[in-house]
Amino acid sequence: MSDEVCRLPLAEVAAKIRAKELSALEVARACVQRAERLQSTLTLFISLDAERALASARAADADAAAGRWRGPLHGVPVAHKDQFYRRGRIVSCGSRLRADFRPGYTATLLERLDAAGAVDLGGLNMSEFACNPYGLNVLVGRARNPWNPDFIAGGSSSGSAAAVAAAAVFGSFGSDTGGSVRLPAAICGVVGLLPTNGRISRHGMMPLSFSLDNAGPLARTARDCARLLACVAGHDPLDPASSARPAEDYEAGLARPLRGRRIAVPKRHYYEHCSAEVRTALSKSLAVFERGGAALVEVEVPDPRPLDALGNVLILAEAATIHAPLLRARAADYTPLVRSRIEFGFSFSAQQYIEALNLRASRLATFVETVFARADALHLPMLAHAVPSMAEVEAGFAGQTDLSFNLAANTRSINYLGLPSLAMPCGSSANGLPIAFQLVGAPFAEATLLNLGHQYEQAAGAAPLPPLP
Amino acid sequence: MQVEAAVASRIDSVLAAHGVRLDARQAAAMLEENRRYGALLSELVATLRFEDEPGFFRLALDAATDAKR
Repeated sequence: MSDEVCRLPLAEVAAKIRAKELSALEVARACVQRAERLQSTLTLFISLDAERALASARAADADAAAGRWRGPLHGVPVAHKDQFYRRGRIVSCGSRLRADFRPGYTATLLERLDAAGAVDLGGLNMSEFACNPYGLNVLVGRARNPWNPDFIAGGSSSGSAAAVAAAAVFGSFGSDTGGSVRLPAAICGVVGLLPTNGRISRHGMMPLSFSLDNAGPLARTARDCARLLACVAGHDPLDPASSARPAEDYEAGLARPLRGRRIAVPKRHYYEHCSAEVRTALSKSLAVFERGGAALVEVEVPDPRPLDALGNVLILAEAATIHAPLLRARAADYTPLVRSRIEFGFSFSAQQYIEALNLRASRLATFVETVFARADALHLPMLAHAVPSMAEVEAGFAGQTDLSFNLAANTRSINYLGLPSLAMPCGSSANGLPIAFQLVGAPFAEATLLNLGHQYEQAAGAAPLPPLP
Repeated sequence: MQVEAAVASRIDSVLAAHGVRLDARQAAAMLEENRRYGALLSELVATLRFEDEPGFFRLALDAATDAKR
């Protein structure tokens, strides 16, 4: 089986399996072989479960032969950040503290993907406890960027983005508390969706911040993200914070043309912080929407910096609460970077934490009134500068250079507001690494964002894949 | 100054309860960060009404969607 099959979009390989042009087993074998071959250079997986994946693919083929169609992911190989619990499998959460952790139950998200017919290849690389945007991992080493292994893959869902970009799997899920789906998606040049807070159940997903945690899909096209989202969205009684609002058929509206759509463009606070090459790529992406018939509307967007800071109070205070027992018992098993970040959460008073929670609803109302009364989506940068190399990040840690920008500067404020956001690749920097924009939507406007993303791809062309063997 | 000392003392006791020991430089940095967050929160909280409560975020998401429609 050629590696070309692995490079197909998810929806296309699903259609070929459905039409019996490809068997689930041959597709799974191709992905497993590719993942095994790339592991030594890219470190995509923490645990690659080839045996289980191939058995699952054989079962999918047997079901297809018997006329039993499981769902829209029947026989499609996927894999997910190693923090979604599967009963009996080691789920490391990227930490020495969970190196032998076998959960006694399976995450709702994985159960729904299983029910849709997906073939799960295993646990993908991630930042330790989802706590850094660089993808640093103490167990197996960091996932490397498929565009250039010397560069970061982003984080914390590093393997989820790198494995999709490297065509080792057709789609994946990660978690996004401050940007952890969108950042690695942008850095590896794939599509990543942060859904509205509560759109996807977090039952069985390692918690970092119960107020801001979300699961989100990564794939090579907006349609593929729509397919993955539709399979898992919807209320789950096991996650009381999940929304009762019914899930939608997110693929149904993808074909709606851009004409009549309005894209908000911020007057301040975002583009002026971007490098010249990033600004140029962002302008070109806006021109694609405009040529397609969408109207661009300048809006005064609230300053994201206070929202970013409020989000940080919630994340750190909640992470400190969640990690307190482990920190007391096994502090030495955390790396200093992660430990010091979590420990900072102990310094907030109860009053400060509640104030940060208290402000969330009113900030959301202001943001929605300001932006979405006038537009369908807000166009924002992802990274303001070119993707940094690992050497640049390490020099920043050592204080030798100023990293000069906060990777999550354009993402965490959106988590604080609980809004959906779709990261889309839109070109590359002089260093050959991807550039991306994000489209932020009103609450539960995932279908609108995916429609806009799909129409962008139709007009601009699908993002290229890295030239890997 | 008394308030800052009280905040520093509270942070010290909370950290100690969790087995965290900071050197003087780390402690000063944490206190400064906490002071910065405190100032920001004070400024923003001034925009809230007395009756605004936490815990309504889920309702706020739904209300925002409906308002937009």
